[in-house]
Amino acid sequence: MLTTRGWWFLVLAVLVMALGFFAELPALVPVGLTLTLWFAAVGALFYLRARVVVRRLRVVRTLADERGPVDTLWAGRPVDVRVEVRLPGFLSLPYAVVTERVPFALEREAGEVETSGPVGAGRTLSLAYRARPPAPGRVRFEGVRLRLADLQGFFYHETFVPAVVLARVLPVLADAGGKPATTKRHNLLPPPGIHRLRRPGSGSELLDLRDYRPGDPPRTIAWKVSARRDRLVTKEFESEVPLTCTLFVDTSNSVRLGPPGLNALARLIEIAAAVAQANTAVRDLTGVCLFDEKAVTLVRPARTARHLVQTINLLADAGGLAPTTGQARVAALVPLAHAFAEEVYPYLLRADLNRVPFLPTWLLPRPAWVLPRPTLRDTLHPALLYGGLIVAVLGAGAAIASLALYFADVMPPAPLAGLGVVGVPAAVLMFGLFLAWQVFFPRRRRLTALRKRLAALLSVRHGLAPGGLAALLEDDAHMAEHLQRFLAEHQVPYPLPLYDAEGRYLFAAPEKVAVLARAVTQAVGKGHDNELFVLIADLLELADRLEPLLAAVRVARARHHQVMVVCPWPPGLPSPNSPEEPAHPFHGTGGAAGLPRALRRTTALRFRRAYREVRQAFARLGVPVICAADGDSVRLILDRMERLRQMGRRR
Amino acid sequence: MTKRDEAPAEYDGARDYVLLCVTALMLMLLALVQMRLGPWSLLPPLLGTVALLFRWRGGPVLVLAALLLLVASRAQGFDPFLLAARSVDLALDWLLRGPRFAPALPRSLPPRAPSPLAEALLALGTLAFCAGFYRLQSLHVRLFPPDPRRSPGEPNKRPGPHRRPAGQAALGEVLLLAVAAPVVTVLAEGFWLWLRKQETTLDLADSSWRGLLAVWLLGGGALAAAWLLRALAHRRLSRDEALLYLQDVVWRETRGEQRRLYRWLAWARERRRRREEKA
Repeated sequence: MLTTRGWWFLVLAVLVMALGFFAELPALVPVGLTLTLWFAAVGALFYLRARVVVRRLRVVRTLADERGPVDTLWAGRPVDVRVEVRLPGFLSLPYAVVTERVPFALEREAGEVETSGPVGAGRTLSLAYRARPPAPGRVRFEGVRLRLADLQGFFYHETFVPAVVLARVLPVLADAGGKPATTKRHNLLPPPGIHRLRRPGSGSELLDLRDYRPGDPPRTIAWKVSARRDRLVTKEFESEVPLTCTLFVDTSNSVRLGPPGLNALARLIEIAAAVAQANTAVRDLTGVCLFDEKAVTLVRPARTARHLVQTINLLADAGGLAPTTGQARVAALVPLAHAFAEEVYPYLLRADLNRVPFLPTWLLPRPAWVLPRPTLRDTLHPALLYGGLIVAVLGAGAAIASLALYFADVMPPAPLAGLGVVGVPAAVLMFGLFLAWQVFFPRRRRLTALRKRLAALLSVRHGLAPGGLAALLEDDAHMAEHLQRFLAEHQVPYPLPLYDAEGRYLFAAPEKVAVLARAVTQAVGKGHDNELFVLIADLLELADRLEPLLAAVRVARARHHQVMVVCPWPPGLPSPNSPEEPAHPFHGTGGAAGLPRALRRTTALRFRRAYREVRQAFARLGVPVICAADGDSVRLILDRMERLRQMGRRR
Repeated sequence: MTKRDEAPAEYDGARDYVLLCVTALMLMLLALVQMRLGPWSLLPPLLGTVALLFRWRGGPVLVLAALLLLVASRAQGFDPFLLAARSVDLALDWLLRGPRFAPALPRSLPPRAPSPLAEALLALGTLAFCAGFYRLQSLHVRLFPPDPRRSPGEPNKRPGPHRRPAGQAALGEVLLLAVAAPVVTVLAEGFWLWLRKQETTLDLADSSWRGLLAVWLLGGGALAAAWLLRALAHRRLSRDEALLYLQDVVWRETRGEQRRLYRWLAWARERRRRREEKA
């Protein structure tokens, strides 16, 4: 809290006072006393401001687009963020610097995120900037960073004023063709003459006129037309049985990987949202089933505007999900999480509340047998300490026993005397090595201290029981899970290992196949009419584990439902439908310099092969597989809906 | 351009602080003249003025050092130049040849104690100069300490020094300082007058006894104030802060037992995972 300037001033004031008293220079005493009293008064006032007044600050955040304040944002559309910091009551801060923390899920386009000046007594600090959410999901505004100093610059305090606002980012609106809307989209009924449900039925909208057939109900006869044509003509009405489309959207860890907005999940959400909107526009029913490795979230098919809003909200929430794995490295996550927590939760990391004791950080390392994958260093580090202690106890015991025997006029045996002579120096050496390790390689010690502070914070934030702090300190898997949850909650991107120690891909998520198969079977069981099931899922890593899903699809096909699969495709790789086939990975790469190129080719080849296998597996059942890299995935799904309509008409 | 078209001139707080500092230096000059220091009275104000002109960070240190020299020489009745030269000579001699006996300086002026008014003026001038000078520094040089972190948008660039905009320095704060400084000076002078009356029967010089008394009173007062402020801060803890504090206390009290329990649990979980992997 005290700055260098403050320290200098305090030392000078005390020095002047001390010289006045002890060097018998009385003229200096009032000068020193005045400076010291002034400093103490400034310090006390600043402490009150930093601890009491700051707590009363209120942050008001307004999100607005070109039409006014909004609660939800649209992906890709700019939003104006206005932040006001107020201090109700008569208290005030003479000078404060407020810095907005722009969420990770927003891209700032213009405007300033920092402002400064006095706050309180009717004065507010405000700032405004324009930002753009790149992808559907959620945006979390944490609050503002606040920096305070007294006017002389003797004291400094930095804290964070939390003002959490969560705003949904909805996918871009699309029209019936699946393209982004450019015209008015509020006409629920089509213009006269346009018939979207081209199946004749018992609806109220006129579809067509045809000659009267015996058996047609008299109320359907178009009397005026019949009189004009001099023969009976019957009116045909639209069908009231619209088509049903159920979208199974993959939200497993395999599609969550990658930067937010650029990962496969973002593309899948876009496709699902566009199809849902296009279907609702033509009054078809759309259901959504979100699935991952463990569970299914289902929204039953419907076609109301409210249902569409619910569906889009659900998709937007799914778009913000972050990948997690139990095999994440705690050592990689702790510094990141601590840096973030230091910025956003400084009041929970204060040394007077969240202490780091000396013993656990310096003298009590975790033994290797509780670590998931201990390294040589993990084994050596505690071994030096505990081994040193054991050798010390043995050596001291042997020395005492030897001395006792010697004083009892018995010659101690040579091994015992030797252990007594060598044991204590050896223990001292080992303990010295351990301490030197701690001093010269402070990373592990630092990590332990950071981990303790974070464990206390996470235990409170996640509502763990009083033993939660110790559990997080000792159990790596537990800590990794909570760290990922903390970082994901706050939308902080974090590194994850893609492969385990044996080189297996960690994010293939094979469990999701069984979950998806079960969901499809249930949907088939509850379907009433010929429906379209769209499986928007990443199956490329699972070509050899599709059997349960293929069985479920077989059931759906046997019940005359239509099924299609949309697979996400890694961004940057050439589409599998593009004509050029990648050459052999190492053909013409130019040695080591061309390694990235060779790797890229290898990846492209691997994905093409996987795509081909998935396509072949589903083609046997008559199920088309579409690659989401193609810009027209939505159109292809809607075409399939159209074909369903045509089939209904032919029947 | 008409007068109405002109933009309103922004208030410049720096100018007022410069005026305040100059006034404070004048007060110091007055006090030093009253102490009969002759032309040497000009030394601290001159140093202060130069520091103001060139925005030296060490301005208050220079002024205080000059004051110290003048007051010390006046109290002993020495010529300040001779005292400074003699001090430097003695220091060098002590460094090069070790401690030796040094003959006393000849007294050029009779020793004289300053009047309370001169003391008060000197204290007021020093305080006003230091406060005003450091406030000017926060407008011209830097208010916050340097931040070692890098800017989020520019990872290769560290943020520059943060200065307070001169337009935000209001006239009110200058006036408040002009009012508060005499109040603090009067309090300090009152305290000093009370201290002057204190005498001791111990084998100590009265001035040293007063010094000890001041240290105890000021230190004790600071400790009591710190304790009170901390107690108040603890009463105002938020729910999360209080929960964290209690949880930390529980952990510190039982951490040995908890560590043993959770290490065994972690070991059991790890063993189960390895077995499952093998299976």
